[in-house]
Amino acid sequence: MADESEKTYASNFLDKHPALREAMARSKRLDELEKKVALPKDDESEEQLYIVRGDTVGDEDELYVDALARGSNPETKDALARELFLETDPALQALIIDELKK
Amino acid sequence: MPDDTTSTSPSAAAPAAQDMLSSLKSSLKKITIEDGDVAEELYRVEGDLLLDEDQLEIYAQQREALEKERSLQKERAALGAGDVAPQEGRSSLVGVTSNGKLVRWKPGLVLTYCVLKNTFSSTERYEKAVAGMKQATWAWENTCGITFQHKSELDNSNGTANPGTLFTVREIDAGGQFIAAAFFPNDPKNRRRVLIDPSYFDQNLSFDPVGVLRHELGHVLGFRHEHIRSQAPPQCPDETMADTLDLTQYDPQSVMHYFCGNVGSRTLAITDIDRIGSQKLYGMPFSSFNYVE
Repeated sequence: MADESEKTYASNFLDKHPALREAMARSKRLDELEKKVALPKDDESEEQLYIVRGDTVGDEDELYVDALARGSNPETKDALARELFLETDPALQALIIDELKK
Repeated sequence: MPDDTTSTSPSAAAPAAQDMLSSLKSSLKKITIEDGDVAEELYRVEGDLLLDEDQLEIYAQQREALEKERSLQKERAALGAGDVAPQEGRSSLVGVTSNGKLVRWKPGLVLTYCVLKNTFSSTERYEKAVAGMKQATWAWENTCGITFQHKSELDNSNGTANPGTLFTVREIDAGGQFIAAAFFPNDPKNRRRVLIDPSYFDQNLSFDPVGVLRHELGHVLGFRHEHIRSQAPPQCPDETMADTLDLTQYDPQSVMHYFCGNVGSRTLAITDIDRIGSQKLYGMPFSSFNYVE
């Protein structure tokens, strides 16, 4: 668990918008994405990390927020990210576009 | 990294860029590539880049912007202004920000690393990683004011834990989902690792392996992907733009640009525009000064 000073943009963003964090908890497709991009762990105590933004590493919050940003583009080739975006309600979709793609 | 083709049609260039385009067209060597009955004329730039007409137009716009940037830098220098102040309002090298401020390593901090030998599946791979890191760190040290140090005495440490360097370099089998991966300066400390997938060692790797590490070290220094800019081809992968700041104009040949939408470079070399952007964050390379005690 990262301390407050090390909190990522994604975690802050989700904390600021609880409805989005709830959408994340309800998501039917996030597990699928996690399985796809999970980084192998050296031992059980290690934090589970994922490949985000192509070639950097992040936690579940960063994975979700990155996927939402990508999925907000109707032309994206990332079908799973698009599905994650479309799982959220229209008000949250507007928020994602406004805050993550500005 | 996606390897798409594009039908990019650049918008009409500004007059100055048109002059640059005309000048380039008249001075660059043309090469004809024949494919069956179809022949395409390409312009050769910077030694090893072949550009078609559309790509050359984009290149001319960048060159013109770069000339302007240099001219402004000279003016600022003449006025006694520093080299590191970021210029807002110009479009991109893209820096990471936190609370509205650019993120960089503390001045004077030496970025130490070790290459964890036990994580590599062969000595040959370990040695290739060591050599690649040496060249890639050297390239950044000669680009901006940053120092890396390989603590080779820690390379034989057991396990995967960091034995006391700022970051580690290791092989990890990510199933080819990336060639290599890295971290940003403001990431939690336990993520400070440059990860190298076995695909990096593939004989048929389509990217310059040292270039791949130059790109990853760009992340380590605090640079985001160049292709997330709105000017990049639409085929390039999207990312959130939150917490970023443009340091220079868009540079499709940037070391931080994926090869996507027929833009980018498989050599992943540090360009003049990358140099300008990185110096805004870290200043000039230390080797460019005569130090007086």
